[in-house]
Amino acid sequence: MKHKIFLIMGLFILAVFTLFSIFPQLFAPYFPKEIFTPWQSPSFIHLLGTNDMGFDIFTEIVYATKNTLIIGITSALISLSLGSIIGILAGYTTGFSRHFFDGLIQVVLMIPMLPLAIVIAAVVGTSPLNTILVIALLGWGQTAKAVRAKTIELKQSSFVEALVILDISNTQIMRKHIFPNLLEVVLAKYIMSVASCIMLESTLSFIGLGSTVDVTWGTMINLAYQRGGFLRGAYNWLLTPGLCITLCILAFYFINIYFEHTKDRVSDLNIK
Amino acid sequence: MKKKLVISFIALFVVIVINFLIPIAMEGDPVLMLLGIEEAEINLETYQYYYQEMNLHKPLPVRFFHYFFDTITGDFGYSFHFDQEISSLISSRIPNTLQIAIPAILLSSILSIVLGIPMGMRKGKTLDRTTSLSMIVVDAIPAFLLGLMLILLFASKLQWFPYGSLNSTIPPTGFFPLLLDRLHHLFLPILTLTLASLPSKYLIVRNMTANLRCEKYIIYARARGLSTSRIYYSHILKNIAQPFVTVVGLHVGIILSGTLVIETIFSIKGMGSLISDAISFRDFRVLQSCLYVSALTVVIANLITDIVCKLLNPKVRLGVYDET
Repeated sequence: MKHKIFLIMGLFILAVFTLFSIFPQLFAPYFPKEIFTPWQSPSFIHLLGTNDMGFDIFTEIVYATKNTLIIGITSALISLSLGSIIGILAGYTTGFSRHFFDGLIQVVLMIPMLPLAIVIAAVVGTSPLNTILVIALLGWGQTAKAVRAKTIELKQSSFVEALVILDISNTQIMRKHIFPNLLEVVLAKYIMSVASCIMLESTLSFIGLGSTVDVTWGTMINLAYQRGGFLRGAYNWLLTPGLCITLCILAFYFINIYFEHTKDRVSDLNIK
Repeated sequence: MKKKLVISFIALFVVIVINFLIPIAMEGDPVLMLLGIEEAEINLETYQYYYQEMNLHKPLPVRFFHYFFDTITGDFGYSFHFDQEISSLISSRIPNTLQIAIPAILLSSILSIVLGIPMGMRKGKTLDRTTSLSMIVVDAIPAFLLGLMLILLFASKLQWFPYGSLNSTIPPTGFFPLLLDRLHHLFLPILTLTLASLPSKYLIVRNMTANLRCEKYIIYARARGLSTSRIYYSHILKNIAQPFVTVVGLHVGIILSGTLVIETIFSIKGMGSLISDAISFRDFRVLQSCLYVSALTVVIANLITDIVCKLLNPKVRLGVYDET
């Protein structure tokens, strides 16, 4: 019961951000790129003030929600699919392909992600699609590791043994029997994966490798930092996008806490 | 152990291959692209020099061979923008990065044990729930935001600590004043990095302890009337030491990524600010060399952790038990 609060809080935060991204015009008081007097402090007319170009900061935040969420969710989705496929292959197959995929996972986990992401992002240039691909192609290691461990566990279970005895082909066992049993692990990983993708995106954007056209929260902080928001004391411009990132990641963490708790309870029941 | 070594070498090799393939995949003149300069900025002589240095007149496999051996011997070439050998540039920056990375690794590890074990023992109680929840909240804050917030609070509002850099503009004389001055400057960056890497370590220690607390040897230790701290640091710590060291080793990469951002914010001239300078110059060779050096650091850290893990295991340490 106590843990339900986390689920409700997480879903509430996500619901607000989803509404922001689907109907930005309902929440934003002004149009994006509408110009007012620059460097205004927060007031009732401009909830969070205006930035150096005279844009209303609250409007910018509302419109940036969609880009941030889309990058986080799609890159997590792609990296999840990659991770599950490679994880299953590393866990289930034998011989050379097992060693190959096993090694692949360990190598990917060994290479420091942010420097590699920086080098690739600096080369391929800044567009939302590129950012999504860079994050997705580098971030599947943890998922693959978890899926591999669960697959090995499943492979030793009696139902898979029975399927092998029945002479069901390996592809079919992997696709129809092992994959559905992995969903629990994969979904738990997905929630955390979205959070870490949003985190990585914001870090890349803060360094200055984010898309400058489709503004995300990370880009906003970068611009605020680069254009003197810090020196002028425009903390509203600097910190509110960061607060949004934190809230968004926290929402995913909270949902994860709830699911982990229910999982614990289910496994406790099984033992008793 | 042997397998880990092979994996480490493959990882480094993959990094070198990626670095080598990037300029080939890029459009435009490779020399200009890699140096990140416009055609007007460079004269023919310099262009020829770099063309020769990158072996662009040779066939691809030979070029790879040269690139591979240059990289593993630490010869990264000459940077046009920084006007310095890249290897000496990096080696002059590494000490500054280590000055914040090593204290942060040590501090976050010690704090995670000191906080994590007691909280794991009282899992589910109010104190544990508040501590763990606040750790999760801290974990959700991106490292750069944490740094900015600490600067705003401690440097801007309270003015307890300076905004950044390593020393005062006029450093004091004498060893101890100099050391104090350095510590005063490094306090905020180290605090940021420690806070950024503490939550994940703390949660791992807490969960491992929570799983151990119902073990029989803990209950017997209690029944024998041993003090709480003796149980914590002599019984539990010994049992979670091995996985904990592995986690600390794995987190070296995360700490390294943290320093990248934090150095820029606190204007410390380390690897991180080198990378962000290289990004703004589009100096790809410096970026690539930094990637290689950080991969090398992570690989070495992983190998050291493995050795420490082996030594922590009394069966191996005392030679009682042959692992094969």
